[in-house]
Amino acid sequence: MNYALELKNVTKSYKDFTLDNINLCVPQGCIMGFVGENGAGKTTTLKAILNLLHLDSGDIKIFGKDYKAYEQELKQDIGVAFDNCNFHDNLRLNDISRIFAPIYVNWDNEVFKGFCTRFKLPLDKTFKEFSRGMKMKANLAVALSHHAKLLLLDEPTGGLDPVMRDEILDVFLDFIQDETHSILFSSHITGDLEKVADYISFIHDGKLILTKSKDDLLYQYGILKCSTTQYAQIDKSHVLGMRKSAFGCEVLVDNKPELLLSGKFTFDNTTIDDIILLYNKGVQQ
Amino acid sequence: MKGLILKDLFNLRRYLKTYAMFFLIYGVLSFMQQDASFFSGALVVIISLLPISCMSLDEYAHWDIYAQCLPLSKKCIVGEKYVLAMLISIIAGGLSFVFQIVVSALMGLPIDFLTAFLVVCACILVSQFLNAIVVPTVIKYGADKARYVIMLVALVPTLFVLFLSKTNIPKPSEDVLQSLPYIGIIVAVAAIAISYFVSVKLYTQKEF
Repeated sequence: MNYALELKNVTKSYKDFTLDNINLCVPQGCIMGFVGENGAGKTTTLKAILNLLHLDSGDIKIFGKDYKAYEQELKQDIGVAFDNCNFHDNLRLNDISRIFAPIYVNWDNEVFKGFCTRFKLPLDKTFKEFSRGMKMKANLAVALSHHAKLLLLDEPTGGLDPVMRDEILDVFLDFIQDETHSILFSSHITGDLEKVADYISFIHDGKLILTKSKDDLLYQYGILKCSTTQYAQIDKSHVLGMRKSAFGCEVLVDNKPELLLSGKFTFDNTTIDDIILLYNKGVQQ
Repeated sequence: MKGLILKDLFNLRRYLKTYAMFFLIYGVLSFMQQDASFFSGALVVIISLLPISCMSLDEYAHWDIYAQCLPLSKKCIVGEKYVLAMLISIIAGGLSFVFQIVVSALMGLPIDFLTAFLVVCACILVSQFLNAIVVPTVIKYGADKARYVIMLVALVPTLFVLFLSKTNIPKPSEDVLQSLPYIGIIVAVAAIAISYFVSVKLYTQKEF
């Protein structure tokens, strides 16, 4: 399998937080959703990939090449969008295309204008007249207009209404129709990831907890509601989270098919949100 | 680098009216003083400090983190500020030269091209020297804190002149005075070169 992105033992320590030994691979032709609570290390990981930080240890390869040795060459093929707009208030989209044309070898003005039209972004208005959603769309239009092969997106759908979010997700799906294209995208809106992601990576407190294909995750992981007596019968090595309530327990397990086969347990429909929430809570004693 | 320079020039559009106003006010003051050279010199220095405004706007927009994601080297990102400063100084110098000639002609004073040219060159050197101090300061401490440093730097020549006037140091000889322009050029070029290397080092060490 060819990887767009490979992180090996990436570690970065701060006074009060450590990005701890991250190992992550994003295959080409895939969308990987990167989830975790606020401060879990999602943005720090993206910054590490973009060489915005000095790592304590670890290696990062993009398209099989060292991210530092080939930094400028690799960045020609990377589109980036952060959760806030980095363009100055008094610039216009018309200016943006003139600014980026000499920066990106493959800058495509026609594609850029096409996205601006598709996202209903006026070319002659300044950014200070844009809403937060419009600024996000402008970020994405720039990220998509230089024929990038890898998109690194930090909360790209935050601030967008559901209709626009859906359209953006369609753009992402179009983007990965080319099998050499990939997306790593962090989001709190796990519903978006369920729609488009092929893989889900879950980071918690600076540690990468799991990376699984979305289908495997939703197939193998489940939350069962049971009594404390039934809970006692479950193999605890498969229990990832448990919450007690007045009516019994909610238990997150990673062997749903096995438990279903036993016929003793029933599962509700489980979403990625449910899994993350219970995982974060851990096992309540 | 061209893209970065364009970005800064587009950003500076908002100051066009302000600086047109400066030229107008200074024009009137020059008429009143019957001397255009002082105000035209001041204009060059004021305009040449515009790159600091650009860095301040970059900071406000969190542009630097984005610039790091572009296929540009850190040397290019830092170097652009120096190129921009030089470019703006030359444009400001050109405008100032024309300003001096026009104001002198309107006042009916004899037009001294050489003096006008030397005034502009001296001011460009001063502004480059100021930028050489300011750019690494802004990179290290941010635009807000750097303003205090700029104020201090601006005070130094005044304090120096005051110090000289209070002491009995003899005036420099004619030879020394004639070599001042060359000394000025060497000092400014050395200051820019040192400043650039310091800025690149500071920028490379920075985390975003």
